[in-house]
Amino acid sequence: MYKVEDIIQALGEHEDSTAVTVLEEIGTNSSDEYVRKLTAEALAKRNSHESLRIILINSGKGIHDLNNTVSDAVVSTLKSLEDKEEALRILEDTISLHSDEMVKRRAKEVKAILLSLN
Amino acid sequence: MVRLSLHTPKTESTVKAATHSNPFSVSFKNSISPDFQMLKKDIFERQHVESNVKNTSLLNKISVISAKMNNKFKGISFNGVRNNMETMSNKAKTSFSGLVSKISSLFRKENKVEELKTQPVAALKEMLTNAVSSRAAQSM
Repeated sequence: MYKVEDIIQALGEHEDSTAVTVLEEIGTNSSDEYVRKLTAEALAKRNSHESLRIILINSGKGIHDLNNTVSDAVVSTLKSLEDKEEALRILEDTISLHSDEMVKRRAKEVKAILLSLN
Repeated sequence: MVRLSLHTPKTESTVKAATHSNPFSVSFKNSISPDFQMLKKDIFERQHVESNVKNTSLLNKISVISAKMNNKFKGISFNGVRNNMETMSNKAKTSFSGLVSKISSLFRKENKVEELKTQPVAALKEMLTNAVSSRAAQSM
């Protein structure tokens, strides 16, 4: 049997884009914070529009996860991305268009962290 | 393309294992440690190691370990370390074997992930569901 870490990593790097849906459906909705952390990191590393949207604009997921270990790990992965353009673009849209003030505030914080690295 | 290199230009005799054809093309023929045998197996069974390893995080991890090897065994060639394992202190021996073992383990993990990536997403979905359920059952 394969380890959950390897399966999530494989889905994150899978060439079939439907892998992102599986990660969202099972990984980000898991009650297991370790699974949520691995999933959010894999989605961040994938660095595609679809994968980043899941962890950047959804309340309770990714950078908005109520568990600090999960949200901090995602931010850390985002910081390590070589190309942060898509992430910054989605964060900007979230800040200007999202209806939830909490989500907007967190997006603003994360955007500031990413910009401080440039 | 990130090229792995254990070679530093400062010292010719520094641990080195990178060439143009294979980043780990050191001869492991007379390896005396099981770790080396394992490393040989892992690396040489991966025929296209350099072109196939696209996982930059893996490459970065290996680079970090490689740098540690360089620091710990400065001035001694890779073969020199390997051939003189018996005369090395236990601490140095353990350290060197540990580093080699870590690289080996990274390659094994990479192999597993590469194998999984060839599976259809539906199969991976089922595997993930089972793995998550199994974790939940274990924590109860």
